[in-house]
Amino acid sequence: MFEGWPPPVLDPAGPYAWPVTTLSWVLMAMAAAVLGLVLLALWLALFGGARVRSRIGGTRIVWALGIALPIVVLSALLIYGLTLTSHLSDKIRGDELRVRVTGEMWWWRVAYLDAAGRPQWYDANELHIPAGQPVVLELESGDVIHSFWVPRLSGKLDMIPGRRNLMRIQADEPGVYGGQCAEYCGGPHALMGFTVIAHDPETFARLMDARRMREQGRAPTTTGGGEALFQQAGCAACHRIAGTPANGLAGPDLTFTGARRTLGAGILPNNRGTLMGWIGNSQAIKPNNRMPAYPGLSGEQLQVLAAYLEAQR
Amino acid sequence: MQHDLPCVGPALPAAPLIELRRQVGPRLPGERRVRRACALAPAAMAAGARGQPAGTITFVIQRGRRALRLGLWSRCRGRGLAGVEHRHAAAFLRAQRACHVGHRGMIPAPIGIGDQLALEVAGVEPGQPRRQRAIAFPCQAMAGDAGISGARTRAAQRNRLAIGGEAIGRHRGHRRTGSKAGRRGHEAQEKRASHTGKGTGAASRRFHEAGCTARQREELLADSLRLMLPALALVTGCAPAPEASTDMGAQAAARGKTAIERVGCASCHTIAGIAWPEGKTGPALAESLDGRALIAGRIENRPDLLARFVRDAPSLLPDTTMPAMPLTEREAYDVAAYLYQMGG
Repeated sequence: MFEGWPPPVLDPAGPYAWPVTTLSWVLMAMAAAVLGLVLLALWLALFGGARVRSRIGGTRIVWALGIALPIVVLSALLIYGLTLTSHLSDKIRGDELRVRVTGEMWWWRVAYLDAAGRPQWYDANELHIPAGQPVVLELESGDVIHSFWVPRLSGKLDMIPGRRNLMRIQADEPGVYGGQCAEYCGGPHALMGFTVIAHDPETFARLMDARRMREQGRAPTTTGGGEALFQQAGCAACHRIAGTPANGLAGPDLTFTGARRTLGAGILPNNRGTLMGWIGNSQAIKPNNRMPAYPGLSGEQLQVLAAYLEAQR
Repeated sequence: MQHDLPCVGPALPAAPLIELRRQVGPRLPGERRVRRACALAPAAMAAGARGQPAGTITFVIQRGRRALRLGLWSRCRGRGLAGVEHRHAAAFLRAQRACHVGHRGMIPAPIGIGDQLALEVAGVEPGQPRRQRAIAFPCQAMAGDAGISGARTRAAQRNRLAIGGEAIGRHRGHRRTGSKAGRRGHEAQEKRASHTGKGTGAASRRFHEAGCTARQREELLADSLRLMLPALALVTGCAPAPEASTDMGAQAAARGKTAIERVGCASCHTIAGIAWPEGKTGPALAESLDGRALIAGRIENRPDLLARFVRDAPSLLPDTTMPAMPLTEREAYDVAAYLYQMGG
């Protein structure tokens, strides 16, 4: 639909993704080989000569192909797989960028942590990382089990309520990488997408600084009464915009809405039109999501709100 | 070229007419209102003349306004229109056969009603061009949107109508322009008539001559009749002029679909052929825009204007709530192509 989504699955772009992809290919190749062997045996058993058939039914073949072969092949694959993916669970050094990603129904809450584990700034449905450096994700869940999966950067890891799972991702090149919830989590689970944006390290450092400043500073001033309408219409009850009275925590943090690539958790491009459509009736776009439709807002009000949110960056 | 349905004029039940008149007056600047007003027309077209002798049917209206309409009817009859109608009775009957049962019990009324409407609506706010223009549209939109057989007005023909429509309701000082527009329409209509060999041209000329006499009101009526005549011709001749074609190529339409998905038009509009999302914030676009008279209820339906509208709607209608979208000009053209071709 747009850049990075839906994400390609067998196209690794980082050191934590390629072992997974390689292992997938090897397993698929082995499965194909074994299937071929079974079909060959079946064909011989049905249509082969009498000698061949009696051979196939013999005890030796059953021992060799039915018991010895699986033990050897599966053991070899197990050892190969564990070796190949062993460094995915290496000890975390502690100097990596740390981000807490919390799965919610049906979006992702993101908080960038400092060395002491305190949140520095908040975002949603989008993750900025420096290219070429590992990033540690603390995966948590706010409600049910979700699974964090950015196919080009890592394998899947479940987000389990009450637990904190650690996962590393790394993108070798700057770019946009799509993600998707990989564990059925109710209604619009399929519309629970995610975007990872890898920047080169200097750009990333600038972005982090700017956002840290914004988190502590004031909201950009806008004309048109968007801020007042944001309060009046009740948006602020669920959404937070740093530096304004809006401090709801039920929905995604909107402090940087205008800078996001997507809307509705990685499913729509972010522009004035989709913003208005989403605010006006998100239920038609992502049925049963927790944001109600607002038929009471007029077209002009939607425009004002969309303009206000676009300015939040 | 022979057509099954040579002479079905716009059908107008009385109640929507009145309603339309009321709405067009005070509420026209609101986009939605106008769309609603236009939308009444196809419904009106469905007005069945089922079970009625269709010999004289050009318009159908509801019972109850009979006296008023019959007066008009007889006036038009005197001008020789009835003959045209009568000749195509069988075709009309065929077209009406599929109509809704609920519309039984309607009585036939003649072409004059449409003109009368135009005349009266123009009277609501003379001197405001947009309002006058919108008046012209309902009439021809009905003809096209009724979707009867192949009788559809095409974009360029609508434009011609729109030009003609500006003549309605102008003060006498401006009548020269109006007459010119009328003559143009008349010529086009005659050309078509000779082409189709139906001779409606002669009938309409008589009609014209009769209309252009005497008192001011009569003259104004004649003006609007000139407007109606091309409309009649449009429904009469069904082959669209080549330059009016909104068929902009299947490839453009395919690219347009991609662009629609990329920028997310469907987050506000439910669009035919786009499976997800099915946004409800904006009007649904369930079928090809080819059959529509107006874009957003206010702009002439032309490919170039549609392309501009999807790209930067506020530049055409400053008070519209549809925002500018991040499309290139090329993509906007492709999107227009898709909107004309979607829905079969």
